[in-house]
Amino acid sequence: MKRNLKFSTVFLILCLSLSSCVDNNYDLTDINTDDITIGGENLVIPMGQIEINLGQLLTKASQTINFPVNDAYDLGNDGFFDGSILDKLPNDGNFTLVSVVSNPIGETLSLRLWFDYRSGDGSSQTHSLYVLGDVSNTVRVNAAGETTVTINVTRDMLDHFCKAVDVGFYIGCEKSSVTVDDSNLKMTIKLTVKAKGGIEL
Amino acid sequence: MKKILIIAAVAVMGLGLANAQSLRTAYFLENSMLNNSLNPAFQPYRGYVSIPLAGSTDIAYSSNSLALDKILYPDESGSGLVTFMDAQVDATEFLKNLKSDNRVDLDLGMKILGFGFHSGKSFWTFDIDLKNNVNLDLPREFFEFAKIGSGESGMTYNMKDFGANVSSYASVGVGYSRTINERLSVGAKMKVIAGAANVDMRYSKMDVVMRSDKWEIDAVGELEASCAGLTFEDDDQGCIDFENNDFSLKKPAGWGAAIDLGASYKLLDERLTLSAAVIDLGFIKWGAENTTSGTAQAKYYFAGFNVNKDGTESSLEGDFEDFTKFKRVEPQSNSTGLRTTINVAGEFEFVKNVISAGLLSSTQFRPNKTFTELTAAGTVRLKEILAASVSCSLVNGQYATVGFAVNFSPSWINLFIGTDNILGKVSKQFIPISQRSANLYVGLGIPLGRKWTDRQKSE
Repeated sequence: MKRNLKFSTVFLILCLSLSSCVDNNYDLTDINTDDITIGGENLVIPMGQIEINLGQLLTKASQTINFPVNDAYDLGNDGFFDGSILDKLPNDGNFTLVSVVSNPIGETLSLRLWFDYRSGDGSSQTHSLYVLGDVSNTVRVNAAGETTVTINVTRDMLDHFCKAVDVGFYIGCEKSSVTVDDSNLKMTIKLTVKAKGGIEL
Repeated sequence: MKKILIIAAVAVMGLGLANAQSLRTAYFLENSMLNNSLNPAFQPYRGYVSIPLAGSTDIAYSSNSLALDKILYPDESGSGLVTFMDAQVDATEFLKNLKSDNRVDLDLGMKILGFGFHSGKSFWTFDIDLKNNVNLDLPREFFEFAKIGSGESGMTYNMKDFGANVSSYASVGVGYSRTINERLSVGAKMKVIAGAANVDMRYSKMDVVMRSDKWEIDAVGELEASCAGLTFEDDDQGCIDFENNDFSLKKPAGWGAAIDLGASYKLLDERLTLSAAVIDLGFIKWGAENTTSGTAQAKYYFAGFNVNKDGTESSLEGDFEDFTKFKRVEPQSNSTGLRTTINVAGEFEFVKNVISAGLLSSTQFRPNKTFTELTAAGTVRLKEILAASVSCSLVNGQYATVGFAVNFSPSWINLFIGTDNILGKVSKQFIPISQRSANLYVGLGIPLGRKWTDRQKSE
């Protein structure tokens, strides 16, 4: 009996030594899953591209672009962009709208680009969301190459972007006109959103 | 999507099932209740009745790359844990430990009822066991997709063979072991199996492109879910709605059978024992009426809008989460094999019935995978009261583990504890925190019949 007691004691010590290894900080009943995201620290989301066909702005006789040009594309009344992917972005996230402008002309251009959206359910309140430049200023676009412009935007601004009904632009040049050989020349503006924090699940 | 990831993470962290091949360290513990389950030819010194629900419980976890502390991290707030998917977990830190194919196995077993008794040169056993297995196959790119996403400049992922399997069943077994002569013993165990659940989800294709000019997902997946009494409704798109289910247990989802076979042979004045066994050679057939089948064929494409003078085009096709939706298809009955294990061993007794050394090769066969473990063990026996083994195992030729097993069996109790991988820090739920592989077996029984030494004398 005495020997059995010894063995029992040894066995008990063995079991206790196992339980002493418990790390109380690791409690599987206390796991926070509220902030699960995919996409990690940086997420880049394609927003699309705008093509400005400079050929359609040519003066037919001279094949010359006369500057400045103000024009607008009608995007419809219900917003033009399915922004469901943006719904998964955090409301309080940091977003950057990146615009890459491809200039096919061998002259430095100035460019202003904005999206018109209407607030509320009425159609009279129209606001402009400037993507390149602002209401009075333009951005310089390098000659015959790409220019990247970034602006910080809020989640609300992205929502407005999706609900835009018009896209307007202004193109200017130091020269009053530029002659080009190709009537199909297109200026493209590619837009992407960079988000911090990933997609919420 | 969130649900799938959470389920995967919880499975990884909690239930802990494994490439668990039983407790190899116990193979040479003659007097334990467990070693008969490793080789049905083995006979313990005395009969036993296991304590109901506590007769034998095992939990095992194994992974070729992931430990609990690589899945769960302390919350920076100082309270609780967060998953690796949380933004506060650094992607580089998390990804550095992963392999191209990451496997996680969790096994949980429990003996509901069991007893064994000697009858002359024979030993009979009767067991009712529960077994649960979870297996996850997670390509590294799955984690990269989760943690890096598009990155700064865009990424392309191929997550083929991403999958998970969960199975649960109960077995009722009757075993018989016979001492043919002084050297040879043979044994067999027949098992009838009632399948509770078998869920298998696997993607044969999962290509994901996340670049600044487009996002694209092209995925093909299959789901087979055989669950006793569990049925799922469809959502409005004809896809299986896992949240809308009904549970009414009437009968098992599947039936099966298995057999264990074993033999041992003594040589060199009974100092050398050679033994071999086949364990769980069998299958479970899952009925079509208990099975829910679905396929996921997702094509998602998004490149934003294209605005020009002629109008606007939107490129959106499909939904980002379509790959998590399985469209119901006609279910069919299917069979799954058990994890058959072959044990081959040799043991030499330096001091007869006191000190021995043994070598065990244990190979487990699974669909598309085979696991081999080589275990060397030294065993000390103090009469029939206490036996202890210390082991060193080489797992799949990749890493070594050190284990121990102790069997304490005075006349009134049979207590057993062992592991093939000595535990370090564990969670409050006793899950190892930093180890990629761990198991723990605990058993409690009441001895029956005469002592081994008494029987030896009478024979």
